[in-house]
Amino acid sequence: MSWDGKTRGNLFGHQIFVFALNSLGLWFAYFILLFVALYFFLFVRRSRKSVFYFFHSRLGYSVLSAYWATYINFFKFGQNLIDKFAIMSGGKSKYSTTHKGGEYLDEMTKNGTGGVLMSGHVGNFEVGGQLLERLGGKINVIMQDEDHEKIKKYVESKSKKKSFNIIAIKEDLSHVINIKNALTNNEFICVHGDRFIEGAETIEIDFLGKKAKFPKGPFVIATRFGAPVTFNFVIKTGMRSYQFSATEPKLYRHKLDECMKDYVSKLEEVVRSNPHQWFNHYDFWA
Amino acid sequence: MTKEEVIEKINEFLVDEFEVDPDSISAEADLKETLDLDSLDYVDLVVVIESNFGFKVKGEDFIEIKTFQNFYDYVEAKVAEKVTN
Repeated sequence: MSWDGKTRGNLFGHQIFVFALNSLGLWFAYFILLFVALYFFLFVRRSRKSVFYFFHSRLGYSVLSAYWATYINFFKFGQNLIDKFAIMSGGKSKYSTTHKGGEYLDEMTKNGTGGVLMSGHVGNFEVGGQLLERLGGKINVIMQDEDHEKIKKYVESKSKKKSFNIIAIKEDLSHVINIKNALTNNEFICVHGDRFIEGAETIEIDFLGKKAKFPKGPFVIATRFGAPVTFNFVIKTGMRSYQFSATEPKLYRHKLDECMKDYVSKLEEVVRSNPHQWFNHYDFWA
Repeated sequence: MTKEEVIEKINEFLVDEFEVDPDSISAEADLKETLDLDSLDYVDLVVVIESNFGFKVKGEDFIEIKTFQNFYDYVEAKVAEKVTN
């Protein structure tokens, strides 16, 4: 089953959420989240099932531990969302970040090569986008955009400064040209390599001991234009702290299989170390 | 470059680069369907346009292009714009 391409929640819900966050603070938002996560755990069967499978069948947790880990996973997911809103609404200075491999990105900026920053649904990639401001180069984030234009506009209106450009994935394939132009202009492209939508071409590859489906598109982008590719992840390490990590950039021109293999291997390493922050809540196993 | 020259050049590279059957090319035919374009082919098409006609293609430009005629008109307009500038 593919991801349905829709992010849960509507504009009104997001507005209430941002209001509560701004007026009542982070601790209160986290407190409310205990109950919201419980609601999702009890009533959003499809997500619960896929996360439970991940912990129980792929990581070998006992049934009870897997259920508990599933709840924690939902809670952490909510925390990441809250932090994203807090940071995008101007609260970035309240968070601290450590960098591992940040010098690789500095080098890419300095050399003017731009490149592909490939991430996944582990940790808080959106926060990563905000943290990448310091790079100075133009950053383009590729995302599913059709259904949540209004929410994104609202979030953008709350942001103090727009730190990146969004390239929305469209059926007319116009995004492909914008991606090509960005890379040939030596800009940065941020893309996830682990989620596909209905109809997208996928490749099956071993992940956590079982074949899983990964989208081909991001890897075509990463290997087509000869731009350096680095795998980046942003993991929440404390109440207001994150760790950003980047692998050494590598050129994969026309080496799609090698790029996928390296990506999946790195993703697996990060997911095993931070299973509660693995947020691919759908059945992507082959 | 005249309109006829633009059409001739486009059809030429479509046949050569994309192995399109010349008989399947007609002004009202659906461009994406006829060329059987996936996202990667799309990039190739843009690269070929840019190198043959010397202008930069933007993603938004392609939203309205459905048929070969739309495509010819688009390229012709861009070529004319380039000459004017």
